[in-house]
Amino acid sequence: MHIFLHYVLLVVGSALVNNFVLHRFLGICPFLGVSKSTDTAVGMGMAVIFVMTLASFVVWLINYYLLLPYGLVYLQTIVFILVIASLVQLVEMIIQRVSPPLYQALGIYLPLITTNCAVLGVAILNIQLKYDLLEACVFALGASVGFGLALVIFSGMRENLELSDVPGAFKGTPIALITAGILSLAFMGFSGLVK
Amino acid sequence: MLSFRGGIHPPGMKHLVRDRAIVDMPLVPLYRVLVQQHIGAPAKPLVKAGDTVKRGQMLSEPLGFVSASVHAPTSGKVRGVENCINPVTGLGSPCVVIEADGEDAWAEGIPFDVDPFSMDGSELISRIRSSGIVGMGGATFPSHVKLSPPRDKPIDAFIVNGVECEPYLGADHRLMLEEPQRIVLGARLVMHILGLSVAVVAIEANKLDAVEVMRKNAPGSIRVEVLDVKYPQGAEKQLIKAILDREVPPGGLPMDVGALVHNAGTCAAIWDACSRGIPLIERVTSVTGSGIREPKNIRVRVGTPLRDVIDFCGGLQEDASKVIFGGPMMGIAQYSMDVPVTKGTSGILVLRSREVDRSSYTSCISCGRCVDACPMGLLPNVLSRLGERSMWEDALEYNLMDCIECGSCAYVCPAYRPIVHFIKHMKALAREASAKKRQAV
Amino acid sequence: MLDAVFVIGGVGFLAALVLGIAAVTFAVKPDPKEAEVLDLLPGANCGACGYAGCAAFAHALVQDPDTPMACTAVDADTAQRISSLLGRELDVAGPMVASVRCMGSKDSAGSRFSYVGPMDCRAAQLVAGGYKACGYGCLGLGTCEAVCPFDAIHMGADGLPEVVLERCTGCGTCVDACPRGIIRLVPKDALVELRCVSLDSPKVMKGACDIGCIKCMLCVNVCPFDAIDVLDNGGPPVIDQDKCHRCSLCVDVCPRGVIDIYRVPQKVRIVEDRCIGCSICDQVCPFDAISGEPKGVYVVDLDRCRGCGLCVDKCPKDAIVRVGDA
Repeated sequence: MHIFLHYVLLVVGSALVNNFVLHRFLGICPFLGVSKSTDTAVGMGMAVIFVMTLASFVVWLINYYLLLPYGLVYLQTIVFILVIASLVQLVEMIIQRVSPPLYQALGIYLPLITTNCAVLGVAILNIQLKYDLLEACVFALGASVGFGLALVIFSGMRENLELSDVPGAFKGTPIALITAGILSLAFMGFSGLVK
Repeated sequence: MLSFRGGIHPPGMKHLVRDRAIVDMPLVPLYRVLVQQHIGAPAKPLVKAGDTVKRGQMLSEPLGFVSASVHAPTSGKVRGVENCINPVTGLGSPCVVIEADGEDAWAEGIPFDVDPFSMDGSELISRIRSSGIVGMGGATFPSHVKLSPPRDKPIDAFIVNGVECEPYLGADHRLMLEEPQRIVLGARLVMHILGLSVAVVAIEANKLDAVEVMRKNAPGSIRVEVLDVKYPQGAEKQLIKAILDREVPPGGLPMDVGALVHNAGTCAAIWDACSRGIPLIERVTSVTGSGIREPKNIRVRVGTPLRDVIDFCGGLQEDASKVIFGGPMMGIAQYSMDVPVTKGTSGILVLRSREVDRSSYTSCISCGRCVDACPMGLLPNVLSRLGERSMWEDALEYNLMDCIECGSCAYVCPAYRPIVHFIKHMKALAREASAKKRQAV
Repeated sequence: MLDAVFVIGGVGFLAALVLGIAAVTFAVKPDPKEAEVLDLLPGANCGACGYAGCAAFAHALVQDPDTPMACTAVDADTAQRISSLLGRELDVAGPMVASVRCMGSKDSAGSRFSYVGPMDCRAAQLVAGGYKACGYGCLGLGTCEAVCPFDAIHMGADGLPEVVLERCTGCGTCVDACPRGIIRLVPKDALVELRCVSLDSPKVMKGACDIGCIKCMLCVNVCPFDAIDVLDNGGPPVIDQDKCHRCSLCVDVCPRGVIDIYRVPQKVRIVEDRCIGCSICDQVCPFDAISGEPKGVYVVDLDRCRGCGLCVDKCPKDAIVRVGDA
């Protein structure tokens, strides 16, 4: 029970309390770029969940079984990016085959997951926070679910903004950024949830 | 008593005509009988310029099943089949123009006297069809079609609509008070056609005198239900919900839940057609509003020009500024005095300048009043925003086509948004797009 | 050092292996035609065609046979090659722009009733066919402006739309949106247009609008290039922009002022050292504005010249230029 709670807290922490987009401000690029429509947001969210979790898993193994024993920890950044890039390529191929409309809709943002600092961020954080393999995967899963959640919520708000009479100077990106800020404020309500 | 969700309580304004007995409008020199006074396929004119016609003579025959004929309101000579303004669309429409000869002579054979209860259903339906009977509550749907549901959708419940929920109107009220037998007999005929043993007459609680009269005149098989006064209680789907507690499915018809609703005036017309062979050539209409000098309930022949009706009712007040055919909620404003009365003209409402709201609309403030008011459970606020941007495809997902265009949302909107108009706009775009798609195929 | 090489190399190799297998398993065959069409397109990704870049337009051209040749940046030759690649005809008319064919401004054209409702021409058209006294004229509520994806048409103070020629790409969205069919596409270099589409009889039309076409046909008769067509629907004559030489004679002769000229074309002059005196220009000039001796240098009478440019086209030595050009 105690163990189970530990993992639940890990997920709640990474998904809500320290939401990667709204609290750590990582992954803003796809957050703003793909959130115009809820359908694409959901698709992107799924892609990121897959990439983040799998990347964290592979990267953790490489770090502790390859880099650390051979004293090559300084290669972390390069190797992590290499793994993440390959995974994104894989996801791209799968999506292009399985759902061409989603592939078209995500457009340039799909390969941009590679440079998504949230993915690299979670990989590095796992090392910094000294998580074991299971903890690392659960943490990454929580982080990516939180990312997807923020994305879907924000896309819903943006779809609504499309139908509102926004003053001319604020139309488009300005009002989106203001809304993102307010959403971030709202998520601050979660701090204190996990002691 | 169950009711329907939402709805509004606009002022009734029925005091102007509620105590005025029906008066017959005298004959006028010229009648414009529109060939299309129904929902459905147009009818084919049978007469031409120079023909002599008699009262009740068929002027056009229906083309197809969902169509209706029109008949001469009086005897005279056909000046021609000309273009007249249709009060529903505001556009030019073919109509048979008749110069009355003043004789008002009936066509051969009518009226006669038969016992329609001795005829079988199909005979009666055929008579109803050839008499041009359409829904007189305003929708003008051909009645014989309603009475011929497909075999897999039998009717087990029949409601006579005496609700008349539109403010200002009192034609059905007076008809129930003064000629209840015609309505009751018509209702019994419908029951006979459909093989039903019971029926309900629905009347709103602001017409308790009519309730009493109808109860006195109705046989045991017809019971009178009193409903709470709420607009749009008289709308078919809302009536079915209140009386039968059945919900017509989205995109569906009353026959999908085994129900049939007929306006009280339609029932009376059905009786006249089946027992005496009299086609639909006149109706009771409330000429009302503060903009008319002498509000009246008139029995007026179809095809009478608006100009003549207004003269008969004392003429317009100086600041009369809007003339509506129908009620203030769903009626259609007119821009020409030559427009003729049709089978569906339940009222002629004249408003004065100070009563007409010309406010321009502002942004939706998401107050939600319209959502509360919508009797169909839709989201008029979202639909209005989509309508402002002509986003009809997204609107279809918000049940755009289920809107009955009752106007409750626009009535309550604090931002004066013409929500029904936005919805009609999107419906027109959607129909255009699907017509284009069908053409391309 | 070597460890690092092995590690990175190894990880890279493994990744490549996985991706290689995946590339085969999840292969998607792109249409090779798209790549060929894409090669012929300018590749500027300007979006004038209405698609998100040249790749998207190439995709649409290949996959959807109804896609029009909306790229305004290809020349006729390239368009022809794309056409043969796709195996279908593409109508290439050169750059087109929108032309608004109504001059019934707030002052000239009256209303039948006052309209209260959505500020959209299509919505207004639903109310008794529109509030304007003329059943064919511009309703002025700005639907064309609202739908234009290039911000190239704006409602003027007089209640009529004005096309911003520099931004208009001829995409035709406003043409479809206008419920009265007032807007049509014309070549970008068109200068003259008859701006009325009313099918009403002159008597009815005069009651509705001060400026509309009364179908006097003076323009049709005066055109030296036979470029004004009479339609059989009872509507005003229509200028055939392919034949019009912008001489503006019709503009001068119209009693209602309903033929509009965007700008008066420049007159011409003959470059002396190039003229060989062949007299072709004198023969073709409909306004008798050129004179001279055969084999001598010909001269343009600037008072008579109307800038129609017919002589410029016909001169075998390219010796006639617009005044102001080199």
